[in-house]
Amino acid sequence: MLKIVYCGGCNPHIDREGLAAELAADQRLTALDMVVYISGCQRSCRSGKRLVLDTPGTLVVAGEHLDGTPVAAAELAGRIRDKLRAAKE
Amino acid sequence: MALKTPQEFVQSIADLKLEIYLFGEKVDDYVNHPLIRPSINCIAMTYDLAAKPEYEDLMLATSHLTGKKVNRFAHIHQSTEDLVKKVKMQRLLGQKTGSCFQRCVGMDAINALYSVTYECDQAKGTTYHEKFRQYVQYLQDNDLVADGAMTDPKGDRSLPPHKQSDPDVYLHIVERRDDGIVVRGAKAHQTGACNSHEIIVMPTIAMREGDEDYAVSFSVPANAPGVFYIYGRQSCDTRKIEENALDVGNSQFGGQEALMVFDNVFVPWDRVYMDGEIEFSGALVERFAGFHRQSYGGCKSGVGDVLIGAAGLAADMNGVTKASHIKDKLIEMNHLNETLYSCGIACSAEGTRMPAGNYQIDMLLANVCKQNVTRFPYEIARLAEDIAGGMMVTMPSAQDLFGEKTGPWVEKLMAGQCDTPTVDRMRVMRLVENLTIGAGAVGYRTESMHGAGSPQAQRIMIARQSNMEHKKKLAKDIAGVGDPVEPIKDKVLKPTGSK
Repeated sequence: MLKIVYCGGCNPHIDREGLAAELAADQRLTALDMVVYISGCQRSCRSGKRLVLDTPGTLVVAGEHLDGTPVAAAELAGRIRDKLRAAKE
Repeated sequence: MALKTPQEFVQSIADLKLEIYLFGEKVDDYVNHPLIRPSINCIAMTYDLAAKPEYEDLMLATSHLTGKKVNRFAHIHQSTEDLVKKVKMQRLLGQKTGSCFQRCVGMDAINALYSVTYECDQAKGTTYHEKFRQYVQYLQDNDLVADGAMTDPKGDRSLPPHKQSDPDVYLHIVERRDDGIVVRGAKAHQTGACNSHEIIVMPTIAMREGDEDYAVSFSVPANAPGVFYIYGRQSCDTRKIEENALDVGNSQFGGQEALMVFDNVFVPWDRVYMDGEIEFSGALVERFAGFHRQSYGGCKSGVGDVLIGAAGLAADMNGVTKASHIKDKLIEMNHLNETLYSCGIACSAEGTRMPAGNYQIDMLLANVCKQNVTRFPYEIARLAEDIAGGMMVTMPSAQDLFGEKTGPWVEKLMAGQCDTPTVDRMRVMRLVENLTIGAGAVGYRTESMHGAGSPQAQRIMIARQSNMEHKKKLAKDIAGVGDPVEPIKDKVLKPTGSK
């Protein structure tokens, strides 16, 4: 099961809940055994202040960053989808 | 190689035989020049404290490259604790020197380049990061000082680098060869340049299409052929070459800036870390500036401690310590100074681990830190001048204090609170003068304004990162913007919940 883990949400630069809802709406993704850490800003609190994790099967969203790479908020869901699918393959 | 002693550091700088010009003449024995030596003493202090167990916790760090203890100035930050210790180390050194101690720019340059070279390699298949890691290890193993050289003279600010009438106002590549590149241009305002073993060059702005030859980063030894330095003047600098030290205010330590010229300098490929990758130039500028804006929360608060101490002494010596407005002014100075420090600590504690593995400060808070630094030292200096009184700018010289006829008169007329020797009162007044309008004010005031970027540069970063839409949404939710108008009773009794 795809697991979403949120930060505390004190300073979100992105719509964390909206992003999670977009991912949850895609049933091909929800079946994947992966974890997406969603922090609202680049401080990346939920992933231990790390913009990227070495642990396999994890993705880090930190504001407008995905695994340390800048990604515009509007493109985040699509880029996460691509990464999750690539990880599955 | 073991950590250098202060003496070994000074000798190693002398051994470089740098080409330095001061007042129009080449200075050969620059380490013993009275106008230059105080700035060398500042960096020597970074070696001195590193050798003392009572300062080791801040001054040394464990290299992630070798596992050995290295001077923190050559360290790549491995945790938020490292970032916090960096600021504390800088405050300590500001306290010990009462001056800009100049070694921070190299530390900030290596930490910015560490992550940018990694990300450039990941995106573009270049091989900069491994070369740069080896270079950092070279700095660490040999306990070297590096100058982080970013600011170009810039010429006409309305034009991009490649459209300047004189291309040398931005440092640029003039030739690409099989064995390396040849560069030409200059870096201005270079803090500590003549005290450094190495120079690390970075672009000064985010480069655009057409500016590829200007998007260049590399390192060279400070004595590389073609590199020379034109020493910058400071307010009241010639007091340092007078006979008596008293009128300098801070005779042992001082800052240093130079115009660094690159007259067709060859750089081998293994020391090139950016060659035309314009899309990464902006990130490098932002990260270096971010680290340096963090730095000011430490160093300026350390120098501020010295100035506040001098103002407190001046109050004691003037016999006004018990006046309530003096106490209040000293409280205000401390409040402002600790606010600067708090910002330095905050942006460090909120730092994050970059994909390269090093830790970077929180950019928003680092910019807030530096924005405060552009203001608070000025207010602290104003209050120090207020407390010190007019004597700090009108009192007679050291020669008059010791003059045959004038000495006895100066001695008794410049006396303050009865237990204080006049000479000590004059020393304290000169220290306040040094830091507020003298040679030390270059570091404490104008460098606070323009160093690590002028105020507007921080405001742009703050605007970009302050998340205004989130704040507007918070206000809308609280005010009920768009909600139906209800009786207050119904509204208040509704279960609470976020929207």
